[in-house]
Amino acid sequence: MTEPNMNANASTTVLQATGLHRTYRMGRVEVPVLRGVDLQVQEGEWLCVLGSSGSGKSTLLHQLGDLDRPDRGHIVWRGQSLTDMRRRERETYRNRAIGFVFQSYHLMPELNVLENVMVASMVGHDPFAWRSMRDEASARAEELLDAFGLGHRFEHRPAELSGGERQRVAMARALVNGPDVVLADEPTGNLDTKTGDDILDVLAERHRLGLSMVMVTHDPTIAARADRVVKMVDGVVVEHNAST
Amino acid sequence: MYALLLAFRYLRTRMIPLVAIGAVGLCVALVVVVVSVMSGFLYQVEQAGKTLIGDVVVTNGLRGLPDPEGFIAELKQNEAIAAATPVVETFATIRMPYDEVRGVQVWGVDPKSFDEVTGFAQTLHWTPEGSGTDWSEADFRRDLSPELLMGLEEEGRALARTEPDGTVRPGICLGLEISIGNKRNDEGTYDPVNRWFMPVQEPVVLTTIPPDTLNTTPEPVSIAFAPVNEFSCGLILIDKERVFVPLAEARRMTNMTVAEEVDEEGLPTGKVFPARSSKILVRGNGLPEAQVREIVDVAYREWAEREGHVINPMIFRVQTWRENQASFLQPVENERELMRTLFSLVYLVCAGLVLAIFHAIVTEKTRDIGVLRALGATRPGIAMIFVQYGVVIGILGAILGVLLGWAVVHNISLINQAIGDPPMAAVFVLGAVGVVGLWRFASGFHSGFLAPRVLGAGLILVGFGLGAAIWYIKANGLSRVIWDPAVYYFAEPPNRMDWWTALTTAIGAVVFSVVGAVFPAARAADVDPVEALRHD
Ligand SMILES: Nc1ncnc2c1ncn2[C@@H]1O[C@H](COP(=O)(O)OP(=O)(O)OP(=O)(O)O)[C@@H](O)[C@H]1O
Ligand SMILES: [Mg+2]
Repeated sequence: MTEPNMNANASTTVLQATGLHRTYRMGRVEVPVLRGVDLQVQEGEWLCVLGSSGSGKSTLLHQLGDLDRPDRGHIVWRGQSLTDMRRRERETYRNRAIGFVFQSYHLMPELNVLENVMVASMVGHDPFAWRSMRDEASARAEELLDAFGLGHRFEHRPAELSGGERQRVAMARALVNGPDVVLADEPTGNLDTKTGDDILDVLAERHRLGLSMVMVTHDPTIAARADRVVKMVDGVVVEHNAST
Repeated sequence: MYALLLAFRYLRTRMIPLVAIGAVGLCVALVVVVVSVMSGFLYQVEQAGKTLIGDVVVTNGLRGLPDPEGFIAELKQNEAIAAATPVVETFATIRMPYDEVRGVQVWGVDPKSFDEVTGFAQTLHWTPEGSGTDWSEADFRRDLSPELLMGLEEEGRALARTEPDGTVRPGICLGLEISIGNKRNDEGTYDPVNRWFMPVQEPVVLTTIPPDTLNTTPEPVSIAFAPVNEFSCGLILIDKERVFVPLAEARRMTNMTVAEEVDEEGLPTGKVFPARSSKILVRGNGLPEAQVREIVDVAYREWAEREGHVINPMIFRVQTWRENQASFLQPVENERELMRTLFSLVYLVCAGLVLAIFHAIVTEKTRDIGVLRALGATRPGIAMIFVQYGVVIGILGAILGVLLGWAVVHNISLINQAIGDPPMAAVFVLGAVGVVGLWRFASGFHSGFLAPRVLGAGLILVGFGLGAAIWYIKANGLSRVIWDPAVYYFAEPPNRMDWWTALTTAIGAVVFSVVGAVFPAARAADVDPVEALRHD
C-alpha cells in the first residue's frame, strides 16, 4: 500500500488514539487497563512505550493494530476512524497498514522461512489475485530476507533458526506488505543484548528510510534510541523524559 | 492460498491426519466391498436366471398349456419374436451309476429350439472348448481326445445317443454338480473319482409318478437315458438339481402326450387332446422384455380363444424372466439395499473422526490462527484452512478406500480361500511379528522408555496370539470356507467392482469429512487473536 516515504512531512499524523478505554472483566472483578489513552504517531516517527509489567502496553498495541477494540475512544488512521471501517476494510488495515512484531516471534512451524514471510501477502489476496502477484511478493520477501542476512536460509524451518534469526524473519513478515506503521511488542525481549542490538540496528535502518514505529519495551537504553518516549502509568500515556 | 498451503503442510507434518485418512479409507473400502459383492451376486443370479429362461415365460400351473407347438408356430410369425420353445417340467428320482438314488428336477426340452431361446448349448460342459478348465493338473479329464468331446457335444445338442448298431436312444444332460465325479473341493476345482466321468457311463434311469391319472392307481414310469453330456449354468442351485431330457420322454413321464378321449366303455370318442407342456419360453428380437411379454400375452389370448382353449385367469401367467425369478432376485436386491443403508452409517464415523482430530489440531494451532488474524486473515479465510484440510483428507481417504476396495473385490477368491484355509506362511509372518515385538520390548526395557515396551507387548500379543490361533485352527482342521458354493449358489464369490457405488461412497466420504471439519473450522475462525497471542 503506502510506501514509507522519506520526504514525508514530519508533522503528518499516521495514527492517532484519543480517549482509549479498555476494561477486562474476570468474573465480577473489573480490571481497567486503559483509562483514556491519548497518543499520536507522526509519519516516520520512532515512538517507544515504556511501562512496568501489567501496565497495559501490549493491550495498547493490540488496540492500535485492531486485534482488539476499545470500550470507548477512537483510533484514527490517516484521517479514517477504525470504528467507522467495515470488517473487510479493517482486515485490509491489519494486512497492509500495520506490521506486527512480537516478543516471541510467532512464526508458523510448518512453513519455511520464505513461506513465513510470504504468508503475510498471501493472506491479503484471494487465490486468483495471488497468482498474478506471487512473483512480485516472493521477490520482495527474498529481498527483505537478503537484507536481514538470511539470504541462503529460505528453505529452513523456524525450528532450525536461532532466536535472533527468527526475529529477523518475523520482521521481514511485518514489512513485506510495506506497512505504514510497525507495532513491535518487546522485539528484543527474548534476545541477549548483542543480538537485540543487531535487531534494533535493522529496525533503526528501516526507520531511517522513513518507517514509522511504535515499540514497547522495558529497557531505557533501547528507549534512548527512539525519537520520542512515552510511558504507561495508571492506564494513561504520559510524556517521558530521560532525566526523570 | 495460504489456506491450501497450510492444509497441505499440516497434513505432511502430522501423524493424526494420516490416521484419519486411513480410517476414512477403511470405511469407504468396507462399503465398496460389501455392496460390490452383493451387486455382483445379484448380477450373477440374473445372468444365470436369464441363461435358462429366455425373455418371457408362459405358464399355466400344474395343468400346463395345451398344444404349445401350435401356439409357437403362430407366435413365430410375429417379427418381434426370435424363438420360442415348450418345456415340460417335473420331478423324478434318478438312479446314478454308482448306486445312488436322488431327486432331480426334470426339464423335457426340444434341444434345438430350447437352445435358440436360452443358449443351452453354450452351457454344455463336454465340448472341445468347454471342458478341462476346472480340472486339476493331474486329472485325466484334461486329456480327453477332441474327437470324443466333439461327439459328446453333438449328442448333448441333440439329447440323443446313436449306438454303433444305429439305434437312437434318448439322452440325458445332467447338471454338473449332480454326479459325485464332479464334487468341488475347497479350492473350487474338481477331483476325479477313479477313472470315469459321467457321459460315458451306462444308462441312468429316471422314475416318476405322472400326475392326473384319474380313477387309476398311479403307476410309476421309469425311462432309461444315455448320459450324453453335462451342463453348468454357473448357478449351483440349478447345476446340482436339474437334468435335461428330450421333450417326448418328459411328456410320457407327465401324461402330457397327445390323448384320445374315451367313453365309459373305453372306446375312442374321436376327440383328441393335443400334447401339453408346463411352460413356453420365448426370446424376443431385442425388444425390451416388458414389450415382448405384452406381445406374447395378446397373441396367446387370441390364439386360445380361436382354438377353444379356456384360460383360467387364476393360474395363467405371462411373465418376464425377471418377474419369474422375482422370488429369488427380490430378497437379494433388498438385502443389498439394506446393507448399503446400514453401512452408510460409516459416514458418521468418518465425520466423527474428522471432527475429533480437527478439534485437537485447532486447539494446538490456536497461536498460529492468532498470528494469521493479526496479519489480516478473515474469519472465512481461517475456516477455509480447515474445510480444505477436510476436503483433502476426504479425497485422499476416498481414493485409498476405493483402491483398497478394488483390491479386495478383485482378489476376493484368494482372500476367501486364505481365510477359509490360512496359508502356513501367515503363521510364520505372525511369528516374525511376535519376535520383532519381543525385540522392541527388550530394547524398551534397556532404555527405560515406556512406548517401545507398550508397542512391543502389542506386537507380541498380535503376532504370537493370532499366529497360535491360526496354527491351532489349521492343526485341528477347524477352518471353514466363508463363501460356501453350496450356500451361495455360485462356485466363485462375485469379483465385479460396483463402480457406481464406489463413486457415490467416495463422494459421501468427502462430503462427510467436510461436515466433520466444519465445526472445528468455525471454532478456529472465532479464535480471539489477542487471547491466542497471549499464549507465550
Ligand atoms: N484477556 C484478558 N483478560 C483479563 N485481563 C487481561 C486480559 N488481557 C490483559 N489483561 C490484564 O491487563 C493488564 C495489562 O496487560 P498487558 O499485557 O497489556 O500488560 P503489559 O504492559 O504488556 O505487561 P508486560 O510488560 O508484562 O507484557 C494485565 O494486568 C493483564 O492481567
Ligand atoms: Mg506485554
